[in-house]
Amino acid sequence: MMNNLSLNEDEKDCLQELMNISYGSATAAIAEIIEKFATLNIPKIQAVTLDEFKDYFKNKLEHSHTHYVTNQLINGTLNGETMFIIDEESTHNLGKEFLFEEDDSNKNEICEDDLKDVILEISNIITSTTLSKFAELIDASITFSPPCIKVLHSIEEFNDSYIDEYNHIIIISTDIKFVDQNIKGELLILSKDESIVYMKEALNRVLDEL
Amino acid sequence: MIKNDIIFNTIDNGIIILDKNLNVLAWNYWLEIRTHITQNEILNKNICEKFSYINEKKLKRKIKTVFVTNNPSYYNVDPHKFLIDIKTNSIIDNMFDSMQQDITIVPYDIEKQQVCLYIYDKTSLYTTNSKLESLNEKLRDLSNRDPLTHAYNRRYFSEFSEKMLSLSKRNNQDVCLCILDIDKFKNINDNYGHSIGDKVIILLAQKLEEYVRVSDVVSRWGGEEFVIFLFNTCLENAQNIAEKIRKNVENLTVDTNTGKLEFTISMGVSQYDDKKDANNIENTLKRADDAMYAAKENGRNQVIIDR
Amino acid sequence: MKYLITDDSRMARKMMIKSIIEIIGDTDEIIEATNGEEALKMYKEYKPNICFMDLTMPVMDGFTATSKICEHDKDAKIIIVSADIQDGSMKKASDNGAIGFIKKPINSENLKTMLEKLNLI
Repeated sequence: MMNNLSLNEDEKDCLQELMNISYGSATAAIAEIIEKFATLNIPKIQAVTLDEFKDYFKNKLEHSHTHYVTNQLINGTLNGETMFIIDEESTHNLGKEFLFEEDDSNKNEICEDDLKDVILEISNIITSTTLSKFAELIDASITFSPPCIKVLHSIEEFNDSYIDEYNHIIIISTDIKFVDQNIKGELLILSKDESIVYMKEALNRVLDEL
Repeated sequence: MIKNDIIFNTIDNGIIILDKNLNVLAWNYWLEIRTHITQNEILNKNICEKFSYINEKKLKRKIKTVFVTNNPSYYNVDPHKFLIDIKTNSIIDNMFDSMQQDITIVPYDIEKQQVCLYIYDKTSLYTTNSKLESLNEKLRDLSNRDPLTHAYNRRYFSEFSEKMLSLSKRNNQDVCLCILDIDKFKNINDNYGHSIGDKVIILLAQKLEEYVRVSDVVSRWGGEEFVIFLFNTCLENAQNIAEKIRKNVENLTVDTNTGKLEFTISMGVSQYDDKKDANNIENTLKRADDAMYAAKENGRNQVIIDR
Repeated sequence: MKYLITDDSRMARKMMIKSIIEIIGDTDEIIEATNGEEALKMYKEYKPNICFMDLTMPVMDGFTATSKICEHDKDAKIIIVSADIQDGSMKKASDNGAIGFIKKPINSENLKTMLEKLNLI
């Protein structure tokens, strides 16, 4: 069952370009809302299996211990969920970028609640815009659940969750540059098998027209 | 004024409609009851003027997000706690004074730039979650910590030190281990009894935590032995730290029926070395252990470095 | 007529070719480049009439390539086709010499609209 659901080269190329377009909308949305110019870096996109993903994430955790993860459920023609993962350093850069243009005199104190708030907002904007645009491009319709945020310190904590339900995961690794702050985040799209089937059909429809 | 209808006034959550200047255009019955503010009182007033604790900039930005993305935006219970402060009146389970709320903001009228806010009472869910989280933490602790001293246990330390070693290597940082045990501990147990023996161990564990830096990790290795993981430390510094610890321990006392009991420790220190240890922190530990043994042979109450 | 399309994504180039053929027909020559540097080289060699240029590409991005091509030929007609649709990017593209901007995904409609607006068809 799993093998039939892997994406072939053409489908991956097509997905890459559609995600590229979707991600462009997300960057534009962030730039407009936060009123800062952002540089879109070509998102690197990987379509992986659950096991490959666990290895990938284990590797990430070894580089930097603490990660913030926000997730949202997707319902509709596509079913599954999204996770936006950001490491500690990027989180602090985010904080510096967004919390101190205001009245703040305490440039050295970023409290965790403020950080969580910024992460939740950014991840919601990126996730909802990217996925909505993608859905539009493949003629799907989706709605989202409210996001929630967790702090992860180890792969075990990650395994605690329900992630084993998903066999296919799309990883979009991004670099958002705001003037001089670098924010590395990863948007994961975890799909249920039926959604992968739908996606493959949709991608092939696009490919057929070319 | 937005027409009041049955759903609007019987639904079990709060509904607010705001225009782009944050003036209230609708305020449903659920809110009237809980805030004691009627729709008439608040109509066309700026919500941030009525509730001064609401961060206006943040609210405006979340509303802007709704129109730019054409998708909902949110206030989460974690971290926001609530948007409108409504005191809870439950006598049981009073973890929070104020209702914990999730808020969803959706577009109401895109042309007129009006949004609708849905307020959900998440107090009971959040209370349960918080309790669950703290239970989980206790569970994690139980599996990672020694019940007597509450220091990390040997199992946790082994896992942790492996990870820390690879992280340190990647960042080109030195790592040292210090192993120590209480001198003549068997005599303490024989002469004063096991409960005094336990008190000594507990005191030592406690003090070790105080003596080390925030980045160092202390674990009870077994019986009367402890191992300390010294992060980003070279051998010279490790020696200084160990010597300081040894001196401090000399001055510790435990009260007994027959007066104050003093004790000393013997310590061995080693630094991880690629050539000697071949990527295995257990080898580093063995060298420290040999050094500690040498300290015992050499008269106890001293620090020996494995060079 | 000669057209130069530049994009590092094979799919994107295919989509551009498809739209061009739909509007302009398939009797003209279409040349492809995969990044800004190649685009500059191709421009000098083939002298295309209209260029379609992506922005985010490795080696040399669309902004730089547009600027260099315009330096080489001040009458160069470069239309940006990009997923990066921030106001700032559109302005930057125009500052570098681009004459138009099409938001991806490109299709026969938005291509036709842009070409008509620029009096190129």
